[in-house]
Amino acid sequence: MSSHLSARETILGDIRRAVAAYALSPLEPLPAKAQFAPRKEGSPEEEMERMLREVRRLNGQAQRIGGRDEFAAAMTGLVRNEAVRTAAFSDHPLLEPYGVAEILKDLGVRLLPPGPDGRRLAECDLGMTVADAAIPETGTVLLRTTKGQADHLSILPRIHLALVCPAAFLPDLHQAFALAKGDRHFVLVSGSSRTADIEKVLTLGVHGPKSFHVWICD
Amino acid sequence: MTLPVSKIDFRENSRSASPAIVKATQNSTRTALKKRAEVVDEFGEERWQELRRAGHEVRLHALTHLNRYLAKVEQNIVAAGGKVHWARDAEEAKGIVLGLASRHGVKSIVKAKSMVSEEIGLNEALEAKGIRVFETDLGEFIVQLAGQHPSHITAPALHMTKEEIAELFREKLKIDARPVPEELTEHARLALRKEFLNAGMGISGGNFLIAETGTLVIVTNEGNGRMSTTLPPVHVAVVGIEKVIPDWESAAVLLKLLARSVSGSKITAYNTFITGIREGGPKEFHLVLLDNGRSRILADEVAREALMCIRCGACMNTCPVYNQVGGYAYGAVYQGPIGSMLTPLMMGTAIAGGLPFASTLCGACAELCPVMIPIPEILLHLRKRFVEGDAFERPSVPGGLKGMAAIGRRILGSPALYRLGARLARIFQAPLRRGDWLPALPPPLNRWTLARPFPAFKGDFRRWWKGHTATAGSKEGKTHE
Repeated sequence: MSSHLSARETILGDIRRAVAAYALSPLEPLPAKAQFAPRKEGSPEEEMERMLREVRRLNGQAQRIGGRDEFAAAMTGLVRNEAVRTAAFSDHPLLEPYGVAEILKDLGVRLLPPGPDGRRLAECDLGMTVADAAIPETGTVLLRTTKGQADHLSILPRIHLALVCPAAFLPDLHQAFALAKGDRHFVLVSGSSRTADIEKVLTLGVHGPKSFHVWICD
Repeated sequence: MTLPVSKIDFRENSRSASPAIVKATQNSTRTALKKRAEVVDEFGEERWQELRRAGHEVRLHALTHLNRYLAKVEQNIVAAGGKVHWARDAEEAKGIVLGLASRHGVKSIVKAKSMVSEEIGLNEALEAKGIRVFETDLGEFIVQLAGQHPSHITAPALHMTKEEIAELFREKLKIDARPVPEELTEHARLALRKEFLNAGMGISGGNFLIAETGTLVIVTNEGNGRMSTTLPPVHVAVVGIEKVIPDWESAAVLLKLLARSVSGSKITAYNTFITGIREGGPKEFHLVLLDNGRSRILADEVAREALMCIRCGACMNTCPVYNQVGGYAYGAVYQGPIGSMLTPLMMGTAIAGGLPFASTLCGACAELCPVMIPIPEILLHLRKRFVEGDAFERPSVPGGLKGMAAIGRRILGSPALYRLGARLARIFQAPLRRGDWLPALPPPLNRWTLARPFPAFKGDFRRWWKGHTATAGSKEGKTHE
């Protein structure tokens, strides 16, 4: 190890020598065998059913919401069943037509601003997000981190509710990555925070949300 | 548990493994394997094999072009406002992290699970400077409280029972904890949430680095990976140079393989993708790229493939040896079949040359490995290095053993000597023989009989074969020796 070289130069030099057989040729594309064809999607109805099923398999709760009245009823149920006293939600335009703020206020829920200091959400009961994409195969929602939909919103509150519109369904991870790979930060969320570190017993809500709800809003 | 600097005595370590650890290990690995088999079945065997081949190609390609992809990672992270540091060894890596901590006046740090930080002994280095370090993965939190080290790469506390954990929490956290997993988890949640919000720095490892965009991928089920990399004002990721993958298509392939192989989930609860800095996130993002012997392993064309490992732990779960001795017997941070390759590769066979022998070469690990690392081949390669030496290391076998091996080779290599030996064995066994068994053999053969009796030498195969072929007609057996 020659000490006058920087660590960077030493490491890259060592690697170049180690893979000498490849180091001089131009960077080849990945071989064909490294490609894997994404899953083929089913009909919209099948995909919707699959999403509901997979979220439930992850111990989450999933339902379809058809319009404003159903939304209000579902929200009333959620607030009562999970004893929601404080909530915060994303600034996503999908939420506007439902009048979320009014519904929650009427239910006596205090609204917290979702940003810019997301730390305040540590004591929040309910965090509500809108999925930028959903992958029914694994019951996954993709959340792109923005100013109005901070990462905190889906990790700090006790309950995470993600709204999904059917147009957001994608067949596989490959398409989801094509959508978000230019982002500085995004997350794939599949279920609530979980562990099996103590005697392999599945336990929900280690650090993040204890319950996970997905509502598919037609 | 950093990488060891004195010789690992696997035999001694495995002898002192408590039966409770072995039992807990077996319970845990059995569950993980069963769930893995179910999700692989659902995926379809044929597609799964295709996915494994793709994973293999992706990892091998990334390694053989590592210098180019690392440069790309660096370029993209810098463009996204992050900083990249290079560390030749553990000391340099610790120096970089300590420097950052002191520059920011950090008093406490939250850490997401990182095998690399265990490898370099980062916690000890930080604590020596008076900085409090909180492991936030539940299993890691438990073993840290207990003053122990992980016994499995993905299930660090699998060797402890809920009763032991409750006792530990009562003693260290001064709370009235009952041995109920849900309640114990809640205690840990409350204790750590404060620390997440107070910490001056978050440290993570990384599952992958995507060269295409310079993106760090962190996979956790608990959400601690997200909290550690979102809440503190500074995020430092310490990642081995071998974690680089070319592009997002590669990430899709490997993430599918990883979740299913770890514990039989189709996907891990949280997959986080971080590219440099962002509005509303930590003010600074630092990536420490660690070599620590990896480029040397890369130069060895056979052993190179051990670097393809994506740390799923499936090889450990299925290994009959690991399941009998538990993780601690391997005397280092990486355990089971992957540890038997990585520890001697990183530390040399003089220290860890015994580990490649702690295997039956049954191949169960290679059958499950999601990126098709030819584990038994690499173990044989390392056994050869230990005994005979090669371009990378001198042999480490003691002279006496070598002499005995030479004698053995001589006898087994000559049919006449072999036959004589077999005849003598039948005669000399008489005083040791008890019925059909030899319960105790003299050293060095007692290694076998310490564990189980040896069947007595009976009859003579050649004579039996001659008689057999004479009566049964000579089928095809003439050429058998």
